Amino acid sequence: MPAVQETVARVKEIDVDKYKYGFFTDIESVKAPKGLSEDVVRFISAKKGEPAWLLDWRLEAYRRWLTMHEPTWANVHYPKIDFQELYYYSAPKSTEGPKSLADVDPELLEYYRKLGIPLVEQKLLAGVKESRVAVDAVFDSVSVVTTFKEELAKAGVIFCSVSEAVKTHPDLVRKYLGSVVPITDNYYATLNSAVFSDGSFVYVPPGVRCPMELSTYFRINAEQTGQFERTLIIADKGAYVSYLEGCTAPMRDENQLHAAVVELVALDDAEIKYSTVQNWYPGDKSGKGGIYNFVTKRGDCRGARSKISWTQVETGSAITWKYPSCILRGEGSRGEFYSIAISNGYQQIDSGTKMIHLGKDTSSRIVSKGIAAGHSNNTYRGLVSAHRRASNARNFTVCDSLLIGDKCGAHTVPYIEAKNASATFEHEATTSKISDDQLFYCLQRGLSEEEAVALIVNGFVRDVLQQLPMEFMAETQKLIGISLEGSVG
Amino acid sequence: MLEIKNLHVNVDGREILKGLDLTLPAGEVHAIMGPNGSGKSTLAYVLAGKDDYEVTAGSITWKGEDLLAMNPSERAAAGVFLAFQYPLEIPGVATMTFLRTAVNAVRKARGEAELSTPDFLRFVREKAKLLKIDPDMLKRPLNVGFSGGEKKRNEILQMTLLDPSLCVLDETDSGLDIDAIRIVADGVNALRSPDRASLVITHYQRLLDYIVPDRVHVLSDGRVARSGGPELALELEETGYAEFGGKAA
Amino acid sequence: MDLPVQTFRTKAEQAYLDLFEGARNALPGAGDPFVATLRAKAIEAYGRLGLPHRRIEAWKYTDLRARLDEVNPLLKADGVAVDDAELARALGGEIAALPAYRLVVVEGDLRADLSDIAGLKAKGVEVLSLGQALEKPPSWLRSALAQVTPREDDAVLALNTALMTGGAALRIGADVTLDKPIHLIQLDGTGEPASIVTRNVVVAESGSAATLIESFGSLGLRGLQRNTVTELKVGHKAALKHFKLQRDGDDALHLSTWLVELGSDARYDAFQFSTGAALARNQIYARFAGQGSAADMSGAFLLRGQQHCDTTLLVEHSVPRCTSRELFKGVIDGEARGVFQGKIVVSPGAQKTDGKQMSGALLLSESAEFDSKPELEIFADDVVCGHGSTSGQIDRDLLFYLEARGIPEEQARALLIQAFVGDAIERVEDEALRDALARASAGWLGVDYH
Repeated sequence: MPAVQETVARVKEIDVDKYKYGFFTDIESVKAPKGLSEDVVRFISAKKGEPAWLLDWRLEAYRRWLTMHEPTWANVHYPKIDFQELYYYSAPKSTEGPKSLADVDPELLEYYRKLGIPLVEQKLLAGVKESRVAVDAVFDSVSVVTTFKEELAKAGVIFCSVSEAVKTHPDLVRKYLGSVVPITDNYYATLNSAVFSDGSFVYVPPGVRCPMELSTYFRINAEQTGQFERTLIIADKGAYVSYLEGCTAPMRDENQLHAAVVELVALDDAEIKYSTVQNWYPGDKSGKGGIYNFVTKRGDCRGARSKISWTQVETGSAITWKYPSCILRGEGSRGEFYSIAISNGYQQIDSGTKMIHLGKDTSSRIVSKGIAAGHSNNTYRGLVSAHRRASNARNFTVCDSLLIGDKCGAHTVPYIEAKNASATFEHEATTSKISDDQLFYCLQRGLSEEEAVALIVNGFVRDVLQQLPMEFMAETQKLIGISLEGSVG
Repeated sequence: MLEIKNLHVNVDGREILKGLDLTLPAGEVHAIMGPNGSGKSTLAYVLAGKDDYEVTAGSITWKGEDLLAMNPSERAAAGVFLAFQYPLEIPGVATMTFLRTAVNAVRKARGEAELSTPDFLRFVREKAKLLKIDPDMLKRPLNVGFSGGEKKRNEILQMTLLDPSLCVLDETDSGLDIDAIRIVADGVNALRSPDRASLVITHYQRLLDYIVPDRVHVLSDGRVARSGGPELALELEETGYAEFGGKAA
Repeated sequence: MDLPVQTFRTKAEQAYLDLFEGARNALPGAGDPFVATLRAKAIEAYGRLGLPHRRIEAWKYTDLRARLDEVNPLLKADGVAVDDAELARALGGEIAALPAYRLVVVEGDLRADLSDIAGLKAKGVEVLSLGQALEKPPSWLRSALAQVTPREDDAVLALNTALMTGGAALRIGADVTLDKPIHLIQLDGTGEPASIVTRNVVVAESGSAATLIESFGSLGLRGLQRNTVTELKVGHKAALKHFKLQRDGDDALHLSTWLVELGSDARYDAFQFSTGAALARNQIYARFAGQGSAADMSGAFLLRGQQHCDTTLLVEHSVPRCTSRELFKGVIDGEARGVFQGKIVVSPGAQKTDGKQMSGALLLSESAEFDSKPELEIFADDVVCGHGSTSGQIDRDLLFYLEARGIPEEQARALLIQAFVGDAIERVEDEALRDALARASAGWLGVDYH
């Protein structure tokens, strides 16, 4: 839900002390029964007050899902998920959180401290329910969001939750929802289509350059992201938007399964830049718990000369299954994928991209940096294909893996399919360990081994780091160091 | 004699040459100078017949023949030689194989007999020696791993072997030290003859100390902006290209 | 992952089972319990797996089940006469003329009359006709047959084990160094559509050094379905060079599997050159079983028309300190399709592994297709591994450079294609063979070779 206009209005209505109850009660009182059925889908849709077409859409997805099987091709292993043991619609936990910072896991706080997160935000992130601070913080961010909103409105940019957009801009939602990731797409995307909770909706009108980076960061403070997030971003002709998702702080969540769907549509001459920093709970030291992050992200370069660029920093989750892709349909369109995937402990990452060249003169670039440490497994899986009509398609792929320790695995599985003679594809991949010479050089200059590793790894991922929005770079560099703690020595 | 009349050339839809006129009589060496982007290299490529260089108007005749009607290898057979600014590397093709293939293709097109292998080897070794080219270099794949100087000397060797009547040197001096320039210039000067014409494209006057031109033409914005004797090059050395739309050096 | 049990069978799938049932008691070694058990297990595995299809990851780009409509009967050897002229026609003159110890397999049968078995024996190489040896395999053959880098999941290999009728078994004695290559020539026969299922077993004992050339050619049999497997054990400090020159008939199905196991400090250099067959699948499974060894597996394929050629490699670094190199180059014209899949696996503990792989394709026509899947699966950290893959058409700048030197376009293209393939052929150390391969590629292009 959300968003901001609504939130601002409601926050203004209520007394600060009543806020924590008032704001959440309405959701908390309604919780769908455990398990998934047609009734649950209807329940979700009804609770959100959705129009009939959307309910039908969800039901179609649900029926389809019943006939599908969980994919087994990825290099990830986990106990079978019992989909009837999950809740598909539930309120954010507002009563079970720690009462003050003293109740919060000290390890988590130490983590925040290292990231340099302000105390106020630490409380928020840890889900501390001691009201005053949280509310102040919410007020803080709400006010930021408000200014934000005004400026966006001036530019004509629509930025709200999908639920809100269904009500306020039904034509846009109906036109584009599922047009990139159809409800039949894959097991998790189909499940998402049936039960999606909420997510962001962005529409940038023709010729508009979105005046600021859009970020879920603000939204996370105001509300909990759902288990089945759904994001839809449309850049109309000649528009530009940069969208930032996630944050460097580790996010605790009771929901183990996350199956989000992100759809991007770029029309003629439009550009979308989508950046993700994912640091969900990876599980404990022995590999217990942790989020299953099964995400479908896809961009459709529908218009001529359009461009979609994905940048991701994946350090969290027990299992990551994620392939942000580009369909290069428009003539002269371009797709990019920049990825840093770090796995430590018992994490499993199977991530990469698909660059589907359909139109003439399309180009794509893939830079993937995988770092495996501890007992983790880290797989790059990618597809580059040029179809018959994609004359002069170009792809350049670099895919490097770094291994730290001898208990982990790094794997590279690219699929390269050229069905057009004028397509030029170049792919190269390397796997190596941190050079002893580099390490020694750093140690000799007085760095600790962990500092040295962090430094070298940051150098290894530099090409991708540079793609991140400025304000995220420094945080991400720190995050990389922290993610690799305990991986050496 | 080379005659270029009102030559207009587009590259990627942009007009680079905008009505260029030039006459180069047999036996003469002309220098083409000009600021970056004035169309010097475009002229070189158009003379050699590269794709992507679209002639929209004008004509080029060489010894009375329409050069534009010929494909690149026909032009080479007709005597046009372009020394590339950036000679290409071809892994897997030994330099010697390449030279023999080219020489025999050109001889065949000119109605001359192919050279026997021993004759050819003798011929190449003799010419290579003059250019201080190590015979081992000829066994290596074409230009692969060659230094900048080696590549340029290899271009001049090819020029010598193919016996062209129109030599076009595209910034052959770029990236060379003075010793290398001298070797290259000696090679070019050795080819001077009454029935051979040369076009020396260069940004700097330096090369013209060693290859003294009969005429100097300054290109600016796709046309010949000024022509003169060798003293024009010296003058440009003093004043730079500012008056021709280039930045002061 | 559990493989689902195959319930529905295509006509061809069932036909193989029927073929086996019909031939069971007549297959060589039917009376030998060791051989009979091998065959029984293999047909059972095939029955479970069925023919490979595109949903099987390793066969993603070569859907054998969909492409195979009919299974041809096993060819009965009837001692067809073969003279030198026919050999030259079948293999190409330059290949047939290679100086070597010849072993000639026709219609699946190792022909003593055409082979230099005595010459090899004098040098310390034991040669057996596999068909005969299966009746009562000697102990060295028992310890190798179906035991070199065995695989449970390969239906084509299983079919070979179940149906193998001939081929050659070679034992290169310890410390034997051969002065000439062994040329194992494998021809089809003449007449009606048929299947040939052959198996070669090569044991290169410690310290031996030899070159084995396997060449395949056609005497004119229509609709050949070939399934050939070569198992190689390369012993401690042994060095084996292994070539494959495939020129089966235009309408042939060519299924080939090499199973290679390398002992310690061994050296294995392989090269595969393919121009023949309508549908070819070249599999190499190589495993390092001893430390300090090195392998180079390279090749080239030249395709046109509607040919489909799939090269699938798996290199397993099971032990530390081994080096592997692969370089495959393909030229694809017409509506042909080239596939390259190469996987390097580094097992836990296989430190100091050095593995590199390159594949590249040159597409000559709009309808040509190249699919490539290079894979790394790495479980040890002190390694240097990498792969690269490229595909594209002839570089126009290079073409212009050659044309500007007076070389006509057609000739310039041929030169660049030869150079592209030559990059891989350069790996071949033996000069006569390298020259023969360069000539064969020039021949394929229809140009003179200098």
